[in-house]
Amino acid sequence: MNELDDKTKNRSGFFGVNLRRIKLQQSNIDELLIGLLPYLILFVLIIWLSFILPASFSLYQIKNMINLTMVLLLMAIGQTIVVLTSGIDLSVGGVLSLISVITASMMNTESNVIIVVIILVAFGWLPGLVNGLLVAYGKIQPFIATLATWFVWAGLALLIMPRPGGKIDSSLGYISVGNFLGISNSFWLFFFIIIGGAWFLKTKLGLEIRAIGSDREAAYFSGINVKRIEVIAYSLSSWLTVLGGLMLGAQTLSGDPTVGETYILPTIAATVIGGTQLSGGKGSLSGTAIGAMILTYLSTLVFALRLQPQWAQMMQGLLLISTLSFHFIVHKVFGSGIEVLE
Amino acid sequence: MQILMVLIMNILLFVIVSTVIPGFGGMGNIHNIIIQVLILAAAAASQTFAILTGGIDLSIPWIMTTSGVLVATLTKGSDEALVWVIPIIFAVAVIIGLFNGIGIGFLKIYPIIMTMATNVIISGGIFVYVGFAPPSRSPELLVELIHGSILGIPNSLLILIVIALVITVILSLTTFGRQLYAIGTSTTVSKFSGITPSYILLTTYVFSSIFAAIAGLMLLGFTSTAYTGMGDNYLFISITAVIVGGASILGGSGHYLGTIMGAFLIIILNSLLIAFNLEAGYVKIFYGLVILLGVWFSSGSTSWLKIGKRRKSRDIDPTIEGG
Repeated sequence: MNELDDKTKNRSGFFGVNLRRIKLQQSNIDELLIGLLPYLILFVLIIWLSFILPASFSLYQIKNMINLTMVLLLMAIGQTIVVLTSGIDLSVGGVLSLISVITASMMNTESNVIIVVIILVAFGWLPGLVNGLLVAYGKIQPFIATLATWFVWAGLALLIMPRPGGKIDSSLGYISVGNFLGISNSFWLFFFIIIGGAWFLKTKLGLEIRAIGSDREAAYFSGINVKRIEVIAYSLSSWLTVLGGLMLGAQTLSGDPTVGETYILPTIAATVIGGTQLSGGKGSLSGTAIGAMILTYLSTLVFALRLQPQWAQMMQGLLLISTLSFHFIVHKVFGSGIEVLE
Repeated sequence: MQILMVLIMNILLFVIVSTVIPGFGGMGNIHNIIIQVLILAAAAASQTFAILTGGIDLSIPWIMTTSGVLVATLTKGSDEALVWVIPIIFAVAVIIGLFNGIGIGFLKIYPIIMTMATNVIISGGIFVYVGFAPPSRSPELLVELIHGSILGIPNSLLILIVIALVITVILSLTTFGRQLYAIGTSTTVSKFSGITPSYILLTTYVFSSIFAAIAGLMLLGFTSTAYTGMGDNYLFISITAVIVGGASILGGSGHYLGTIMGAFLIIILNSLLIAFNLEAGYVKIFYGLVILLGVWFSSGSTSWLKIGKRRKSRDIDPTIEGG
């Protein structure tokens, strides 16, 4: 357990990489490269965008960017937590669709908004509980279990509201456009997520989640309740998706029963581009935040270049695959070789 | 064993459905059902290849759409153009398959992530290439091929038999087929017995892609109009068909005949749901539950027997074992 503590504690500093470790062991250059890649990509994108749209450096635009990225960011943080346990959560798409139609069909007055928000925040972890039970206790492969529940939630969403529409009372918009102490709410939320995310992985729960991901059996023998932690990870993912759904409702003020399906790949892409490894155990939540920003900047770039919006999803897919290839090559060249084999 | 079970379920369901819905057992309707089974069986064939290696192919819907939409766009509905368009379609399918295969086999990307990304990339590419309202008329030849019949036997049934034979031969009688099962059972062991998983995976996904393209061509013949998103339904039912047919989602076990039985079951159930006028939402929920039950029975039940022994490969997908 001591060794595990040292390993995991040193692993992710605020930037997802820790220079102290690099000095100790030379073979960790691969993790340094993987950790630095998202910052490099984001930097290049920001510079490129500022050439095309000089106004994109303004405070207003940055605020806009953070607003745009919020839904994806919340969902991607949840996805990262699940991926760190070496699982995957495809059901986030279905949950998002479900929340979208629930908000659109129930939040027509201001008092309803408050009640529904309270109920959703209180019970948002329930869909994830189902996933967690299926994966941990039903022993079903994560991707197939969450693929199935994705369809169940998406089907429920279609039953509640067969086609896009509905109207959400504008008071929900406050969580997106409102101010607190003169700074916009999304700014607050964004910084809270970054700092909370860095803190979360250092807590006992965060350590246990990463321990499960790097070696399930070692984690089990160190006294970690593997199944319980797994259930918690999936529940957290769906709870964060519910928050993302509320954010989406606040921005669009209407509902769409199929909106979630377009978010599944981006959540995984943000996780991977942010430096988290799909085999679990290694990664950082701040990296994921950067990954989400990268995807948003990419869409904005496509928009600024006056290309068709479908270019954005092509770019996202290609960026995801190139990042994974980069990880593979870096591990092959600089890693000890064991990482790839496990 | 499961193949027999599914076969019995099929017959029972068929009897029940034909008594519930008047005209279901009629020749016209049976012909229609065989066509739908054929298309699903072809899509599920490509899924079978991927699942037998322990992977999954989520790019099937857009490979199908790509082949359907490209045929309609390039031929503009004329039969003569098919001569040069069909090779193009297969070339495109092989390229997509190589793309998937290189990512999965050589760069060790998880199949689910790789194929999902490919799906998104080609969907974007098709939208960019053909626009939102491409020419949609199918060449008459394709429509006749799918809907017609020779000597009273529906063409679709003949094609289904041919496809079933080809795939059964590939999977059971060729070295490639045996190697494919070996990889699905254990990548590590197959490597020590002298198989190169990377090349087998590459070939697998190329085959998968080709059969998805064939399914797309037949879907175009069936609906006689092409539209973007025409293959979207097949994402889920292709997986469901394979799992209901008794293949293990962990790879290494399963037969194509089972997949065809699974396809039959799904199409019959589907027509039942349509006959009862159930909304699309119920159908989706239903597929979700079917897949959970199918996985539970096929792979979950065996692990109950090994009490106290936890399954080791808890990764997203076991094919990652290859180094």
